[in-house]
Amino acid sequence: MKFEEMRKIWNEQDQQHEYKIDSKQLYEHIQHKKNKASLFVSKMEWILIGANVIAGGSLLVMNLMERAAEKYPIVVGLAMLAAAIYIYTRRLYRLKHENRFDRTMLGDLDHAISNATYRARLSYGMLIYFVFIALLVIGNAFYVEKSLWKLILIAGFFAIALFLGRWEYKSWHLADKQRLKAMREKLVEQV
Amino acid sequence: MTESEQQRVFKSWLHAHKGLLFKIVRAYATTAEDQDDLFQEVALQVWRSVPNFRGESAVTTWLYRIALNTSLRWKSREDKTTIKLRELDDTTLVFQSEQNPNDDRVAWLYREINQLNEIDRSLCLMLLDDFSYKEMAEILGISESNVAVKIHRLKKYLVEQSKTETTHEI
Repeated sequence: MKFEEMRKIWNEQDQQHEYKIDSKQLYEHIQHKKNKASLFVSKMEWILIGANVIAGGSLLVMNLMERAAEKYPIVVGLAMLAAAIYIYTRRLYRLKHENRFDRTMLGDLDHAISNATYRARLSYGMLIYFVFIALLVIGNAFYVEKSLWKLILIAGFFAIALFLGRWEYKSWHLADKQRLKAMREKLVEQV
Repeated sequence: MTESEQQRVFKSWLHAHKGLLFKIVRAYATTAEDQDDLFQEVALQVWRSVPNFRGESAVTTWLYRIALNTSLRWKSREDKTTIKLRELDDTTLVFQSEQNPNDDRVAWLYREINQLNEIDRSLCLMLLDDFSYKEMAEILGISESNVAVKIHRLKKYLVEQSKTETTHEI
């Protein structure tokens, strides 16, 4: 069959098909999905900022109010506030650069890759930050608790959380980015 | 733009171009449920895009770009998720197409398109829908010469495939 024949068959579909759309239901679905979907990254940022400010701020206030303030909780509190500021500045940078992509499929893919990279970096950054917090908490527990089984319990909890965080980073954020990059390569390859 | 204006434009685009959108949807999703799911996703992106449309390109080009890109992303997500969890309230289909069951040639074309990789599939759809190389290059964001190379290979592949199928009488 020649290609022109294929095109003819393709165009004949329009006369042969009848398309029915349930407009009311479609609009309801659109509203539902619109409210649910797109704000994922933004929500992730605000949750991290909020959690760090509340937890870090509380630690600092409680410890600074005591006469014999302990150094570990203060360091943890400061680290949490620093993390909140860092996430906020990254968010501002992300929003500023949202509209720099072309209105083409390549531009859309670049935009998606940029978002996936951002999510992956945020997730990886949080893993490093988590290790730092875990070390401080375990260090503090070592001096305060002096109990081996409690230390093992705390370390075990952090190890599980770290394992799950790493799994999320690799199988979700990183995999997403790699899939998009592979698609981009297919689009721009010359052969 | 007010929401009612957005809704009016969206409805008119959908009414005028539902056939075009469905052809893209059918090329990326095979079962009726998947087609419905993808159609809803495409419709959502089209609805969102209405305020950004400045008339710099034809509506068909605009819709094609959105539908193709949404389908590519949807397909990539679907491939990743083998078990699909549909929402409980998604039991009735929003979109239905009644096709001529005797048209084996159209079915054959869709089968062939479905076997192409996502990028070639997009190109093939635009080629069958008579887009020029320039328009394809604009939609995809690659050079016309790159489009030409890919199209040449694609046409050759489809013609070869049709020869094999002809021996089995489509």
